[in-house]
Amino acid sequence: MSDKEPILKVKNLKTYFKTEDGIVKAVNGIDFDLCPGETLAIVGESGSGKSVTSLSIMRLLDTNGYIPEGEIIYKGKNVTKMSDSEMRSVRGNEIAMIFQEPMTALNPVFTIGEQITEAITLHMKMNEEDAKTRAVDLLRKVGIPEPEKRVDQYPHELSGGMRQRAMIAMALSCNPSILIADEPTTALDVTIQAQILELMKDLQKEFGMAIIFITHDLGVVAEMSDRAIVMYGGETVEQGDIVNIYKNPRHPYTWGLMNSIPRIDIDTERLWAIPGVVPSPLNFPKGCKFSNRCFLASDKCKTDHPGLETIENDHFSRCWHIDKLVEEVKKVRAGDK
Amino acid sequence: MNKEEMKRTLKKFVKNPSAMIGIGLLLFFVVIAIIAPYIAPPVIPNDADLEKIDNLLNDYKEENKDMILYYFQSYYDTVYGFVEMDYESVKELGQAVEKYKDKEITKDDLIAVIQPLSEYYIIDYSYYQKLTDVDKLDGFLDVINQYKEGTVSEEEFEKELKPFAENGFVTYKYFKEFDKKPEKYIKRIESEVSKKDDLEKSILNSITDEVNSYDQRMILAGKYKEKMENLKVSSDFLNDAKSFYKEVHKTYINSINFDPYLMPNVNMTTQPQPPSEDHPFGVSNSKDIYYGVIWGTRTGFKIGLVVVSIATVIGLFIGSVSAYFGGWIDEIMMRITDIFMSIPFMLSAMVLTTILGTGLDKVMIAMVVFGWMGTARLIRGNILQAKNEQYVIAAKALGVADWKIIIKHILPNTIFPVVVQASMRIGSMVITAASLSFLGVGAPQGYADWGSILTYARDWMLGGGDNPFQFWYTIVYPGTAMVLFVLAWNLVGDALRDIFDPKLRM
Amino acid sequence: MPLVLIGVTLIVFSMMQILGPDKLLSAYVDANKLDKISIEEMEQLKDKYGLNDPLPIRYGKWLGNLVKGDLGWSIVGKEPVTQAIIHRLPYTIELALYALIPILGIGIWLGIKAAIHHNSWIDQLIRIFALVGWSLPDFVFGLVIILFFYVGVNWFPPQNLSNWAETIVRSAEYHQYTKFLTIDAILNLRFDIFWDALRHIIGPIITMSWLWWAYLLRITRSSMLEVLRKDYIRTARAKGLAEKEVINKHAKKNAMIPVVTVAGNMVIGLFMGVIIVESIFNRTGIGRFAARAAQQLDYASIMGSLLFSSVILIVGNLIIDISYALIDPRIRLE
Repeated sequence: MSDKEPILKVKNLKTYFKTEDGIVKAVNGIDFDLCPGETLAIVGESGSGKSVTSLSIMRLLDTNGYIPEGEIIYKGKNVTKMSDSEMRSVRGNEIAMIFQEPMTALNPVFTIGEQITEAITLHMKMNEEDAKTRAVDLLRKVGIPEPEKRVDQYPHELSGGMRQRAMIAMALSCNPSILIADEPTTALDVTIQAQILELMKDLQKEFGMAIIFITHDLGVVAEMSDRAIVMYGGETVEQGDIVNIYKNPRHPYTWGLMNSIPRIDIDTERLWAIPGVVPSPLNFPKGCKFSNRCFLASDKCKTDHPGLETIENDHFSRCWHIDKLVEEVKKVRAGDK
Repeated sequence: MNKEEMKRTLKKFVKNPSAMIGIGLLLFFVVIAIIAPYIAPPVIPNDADLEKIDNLLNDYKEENKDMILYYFQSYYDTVYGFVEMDYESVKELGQAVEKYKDKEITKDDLIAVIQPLSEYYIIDYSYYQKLTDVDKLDGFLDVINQYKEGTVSEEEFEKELKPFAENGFVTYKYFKEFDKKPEKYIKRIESEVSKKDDLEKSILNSITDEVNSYDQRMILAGKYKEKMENLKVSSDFLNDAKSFYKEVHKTYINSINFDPYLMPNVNMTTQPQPPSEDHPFGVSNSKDIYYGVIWGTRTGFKIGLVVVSIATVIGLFIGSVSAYFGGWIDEIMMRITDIFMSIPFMLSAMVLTTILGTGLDKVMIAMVVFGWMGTARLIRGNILQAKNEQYVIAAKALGVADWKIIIKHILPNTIFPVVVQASMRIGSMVITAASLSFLGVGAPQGYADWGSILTYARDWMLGGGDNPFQFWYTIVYPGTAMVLFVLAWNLVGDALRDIFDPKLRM
Repeated sequence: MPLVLIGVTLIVFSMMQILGPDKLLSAYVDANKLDKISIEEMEQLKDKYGLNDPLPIRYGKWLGNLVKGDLGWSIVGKEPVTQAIIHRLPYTIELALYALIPILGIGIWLGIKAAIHHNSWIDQLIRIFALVGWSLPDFVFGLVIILFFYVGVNWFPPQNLSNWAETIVRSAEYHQYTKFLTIDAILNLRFDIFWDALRHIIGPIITMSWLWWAYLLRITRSSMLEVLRKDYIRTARAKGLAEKEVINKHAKKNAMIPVVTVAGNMVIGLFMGVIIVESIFNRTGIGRFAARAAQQLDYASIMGSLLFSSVILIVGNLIIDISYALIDPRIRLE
């Protein structure tokens, strides 16, 4: 972990949604700090609340979503209490975001250039001409060939990878201190994925911004990030240094995720799959939310909700059987063979 | 859609206030339509004798028994008297026709039997005419032969031929174009003329039919007579007389083709009359507005439901076949749909109605012919989407028959939008039909239909008057009924759409 | 498109065949004359107009006449159908154009308002307005307008012009530059006539607008709602744009795409609307011409009107396809 003062502090953040079937607690109390220049990964399956967390930070929730509790402190100011105009000066300027679907995240009726310059003229008070020059520069920086031509093209004239590069250029246009990337590579081909990840790493070195990297892909996490938060059912189930989480996972869910992807470095006979699917937000089990899919689950897990336990410095896990996991895992592996 | 989802959907529907208002209004109209004959009883025309019987029976006194019997007899005389009287001679005619067919008598004998009957209008005069004319065809054949031999000039020939053509024995065209292609037409004329025997046979058959109908009426007359005799000696005279009256009255109504949808004239002046006790919604152009509004409810349902359901079925068929088979079938059908869509709906319905003639059925046909395209397109789009679903591909891979896949797998999953669309279209169909009536090309004169009643209102509005609002009731009552009816369907359709359209679900 | 045109003529032609040659003759010959002539002469006439030819030949001839602009004789107009339509066209176009302004402006505005305030009371109110508007037949609404604004206060009288204005318009000194009553009045510097024409046109416009407001605002609302849920709207917000700009710049342009599609329906709908509206308000124009033709079984005239409006619909749709490309760059490419 970095010694620097954190640029963003999230304390006990809760985000709920009002729906016709009742209140959905999409995020139910998560905490983390983000230091300048570091990369934090938020990992989880769809429905775990990872995207909602990022949207909460940007205050871009749908109209039926609200934050009943918790603080998001950016540079000493509470984002949840900011006025709309204050918030707007943060969005795109200080915290920028890129989204999962480059196909739909760009407005089809405006050119790439128009969409990039929009933020530049708004936040950096540049005139149209300078903004366009900057846009071309940015496009070149994110590796788009012939940026002078591309800047006047419409999104549908670009490939998926090119569009995501354009999205990144747009996000970086005002030198933000935090970049939130919500599954930026999920919709892309594997080869393009690697290029985009490489690009983001390079750009982070150059611009020095902190990145919150949201993904369901643990493989990506290892490449990109310094620390990781594993989320399940709107809660943090494990949090810590990326090396710790990888080498020494202490939550059966993290363990399951890890072993569901093929790895070269560990020799396994077959891949492990977490049984079942994420239940609908209204149907989580009473005790530990993961208990109905967990191979370690005991009766206690089904009735009592575990707290987030410290395992060692900066490594937390929310499980009643932290100690048992290591042994059990060995047994399961043996059984497999 | 599974059961759980169904339940939830239903719950949402019940909770939706506008849907409930719509359903309530619809139920109200359904009830009105059902009880229309009770709350706005049609004025059923009655025979003078029957009416007297009815009055006497309603206020029955022992001493009137003979009077009642007298009127029954009198009704018999007017309805069956002639049948009884002419029965013998008609029967004779029947026998003569049979004999002639068996060649026992000559044609002249037959004509001698028919002639007096025709002259006294006991049977249709045309039979006599036709029977005598048929024989002239022989003479015509002679003329043709002479013409062929060259003994008759073309002019004379045409002169001879003309009356036949004008009487419809020979196709007029052949005669007319004779000079262009004499050889061709002479053959045709010959072949037509040689059908003389068939022609005669068909005339004889219609005579036999007429004779047989006399038999039927005689049987009815016999039954009537028998019942009357029974009535005379009946121990429970009043009840028997009443049931007999009902029976007779029913046959009477059937025989005069009474239509309750035609609004009766209630007075002689066309000037609207304000609401009164007898006519609670007022009178417009001699028609009772109350009667028209109540029976118009039935007309509204009839038009909306019939047109939309038939148009939807046609659209479903075309759309599903088109989407499922694709390729050139799809191409052709969608082109046809495009073409039909390029013709403005209301105008085309108006034109087709004008061509087909007045009448509610004509209006409905016209609206169906130009009203199926929306459904066809909608279902086609939905099916194209559903076609690529896993379960359909799986069923296809298993070798399930095409039509089975359409009916079992695809339609149930694509039908909801069609139902929503249909319910929303009922309202607009009713409006279109009423618009046509309003323009005077829809329902016949005096038909109980909201649009027709409003037409009267228009005349009085523009006709002016001293007091501007004196004719308000000619608009307000039928207009309100119409708006509420359409609103009811739209409310229900709108609620259904909100529930089933996932795009708007939030 | 040519295929569609041919298809339309085929449908119209086959509808005419239901009539049979006798009735079709009325399209060429004055009905009074037709009653007096003998069968023979009638047949000659049928021959003359080719009504006895085989179907394909008849269709070919009919199509030929159509291309030449010969649609037959109009009983209602007492002139050839083409002439009758051309004479009445300016009145109807003027009415439709005037109606288009409030319809588009208010309809789209209301739809966007409702979408922005989704599920609030404003939205509910607008939706009720739309539902009631959609359920209110134009001829009922038109009668109510006449009842209150003509019979009641005499603001919006029927017909195209008052009698005194009509006399002036028909006089020799008055130049009919465009045949549009209001514009001609201004060009002739007769503001009294302009005012009179305006007074006569407002009632019909209100009657026509009502229904289309309902229609347009529904389309706009649902299209806008859909667009507001799109990712690129979130992107725009994430840039820090103000809500007003997000809606006016990013959402509106996208939301207008489906609205343009229905504009085709609307143009033709307006045209159909004039049948009722012109009939109610006794206005000269194509709509009333078609209605009267239908009432008087003037087949040539109604067929002519039908063909004419079909062509308008097809051409209208073509224009809309083109204007589509102006809004949506994705189509421009193809």
